[in-house]
Amino acid sequence: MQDGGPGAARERGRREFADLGIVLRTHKLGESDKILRILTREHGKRSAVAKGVRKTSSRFGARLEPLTCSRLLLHRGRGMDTVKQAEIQTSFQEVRADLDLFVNAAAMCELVDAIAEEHEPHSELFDLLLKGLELLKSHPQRARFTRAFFEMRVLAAGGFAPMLDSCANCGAPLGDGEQLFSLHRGGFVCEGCLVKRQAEVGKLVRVSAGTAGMLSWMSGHQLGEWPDEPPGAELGEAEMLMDRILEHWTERRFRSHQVMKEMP
Amino acid sequence: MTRYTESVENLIENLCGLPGIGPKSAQRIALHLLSVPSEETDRLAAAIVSAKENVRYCSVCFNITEQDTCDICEDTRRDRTVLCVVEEPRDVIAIERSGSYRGIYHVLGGAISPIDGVGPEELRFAELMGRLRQGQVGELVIATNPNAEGEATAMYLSRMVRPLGITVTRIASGLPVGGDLEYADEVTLGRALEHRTPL
Repeated sequence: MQDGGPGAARERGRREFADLGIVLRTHKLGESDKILRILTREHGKRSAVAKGVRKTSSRFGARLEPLTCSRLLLHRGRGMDTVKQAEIQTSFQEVRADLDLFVNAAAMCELVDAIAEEHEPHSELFDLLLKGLELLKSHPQRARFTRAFFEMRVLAAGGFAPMLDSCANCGAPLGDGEQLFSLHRGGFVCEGCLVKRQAEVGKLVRVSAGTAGMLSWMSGHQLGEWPDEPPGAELGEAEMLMDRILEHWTERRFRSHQVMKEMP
Repeated sequence: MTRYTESVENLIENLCGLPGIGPKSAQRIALHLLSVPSEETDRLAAAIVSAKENVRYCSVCFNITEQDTCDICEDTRRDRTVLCVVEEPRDVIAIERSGSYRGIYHVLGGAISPIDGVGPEELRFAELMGRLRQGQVGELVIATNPNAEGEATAMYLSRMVRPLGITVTRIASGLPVGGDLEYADEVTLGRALEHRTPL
């Protein structure tokens, strides 16, 4: 039986809501609590307190670990929500149990955390992150490609899909071979613009024809599809360019990218 | 009056900077300190100053000590062939309380957390590798927390230490003693089953 009669029950109903959520990151709070940053499917990015979660006797156990997708019952607070219940939908334990997968997943979560607005529903972003984590789990050997592909799809979902099939400055068709990516213009630029309008195209990143082809393929396909040819040496260059684009777009450096470089 | 005096506000602001202390708690602690006799506040202030002046990190294992090396590193009865890696000095205390470990320690100062920008270079891995290369240690027990960051740290350590020919072990994780099976989440229960031991 609930306490407080029907009025209190109605109030509780207004302040509590259930949703699917992926834990992006956690911070310690006080003696045994944690603050969680969660991307929910219908209620956007939320900050929530999980009480007592650090105790070995916590009823939450591993349900609120980073990357876990859980069905949550959250109580809206004035500043932060409180986690009332959590039931694991997909634990992604396999991703946490592999150092390389975990680092790639952390980079994906950091990107989502950087671009998702608090309390603004982002169901497309949620679905992309869930799909990205599922691909890391199901295709661990393709982790680096999955992360680069995920980043491309996130850019597109945010309305910043790079222009890769024609000049981002003048619209003219691009030549074959190496391409120059303008961070300022958000796409490849043609030789003509490079010579005549250098000030308009700003800082450029040079990539091989193979990398340009891979990026173009990514921009025209959905996460979960795979190219006929497995990516080769061009993957490293594609990752480098995606990192530069994201840093330019979000105007921040990603901490997980730095940690990734320290991995053996 | 909508604000306290400058001294009280200053005290609240400083208390607010402590971990886990919010503005309300800081205000409550400040008002409590003002209500107790001066001897009590003097004792507290002296304890903080003394701890800050005398306490340092052990030059060998980075545990907290008041000498150059901590009591555990100084203790000749300790088994120096077994080295336990923990995240924080409080984890040393927790393991010592168990009374089940007689080896030595290494305190990393945290755990790998890519999203927070904490990588191997921010932790005391280089110092640990230096100790291991001296050749005395035969087993490395990884006792980082059983959470995502602790596991990532354990995996990194295992990858770095295995080539040295040292046995790397991880403390067991699973069901807490005194708990009910039905309340265990699937990850914890899965690990408990995976690491079951013969009776």
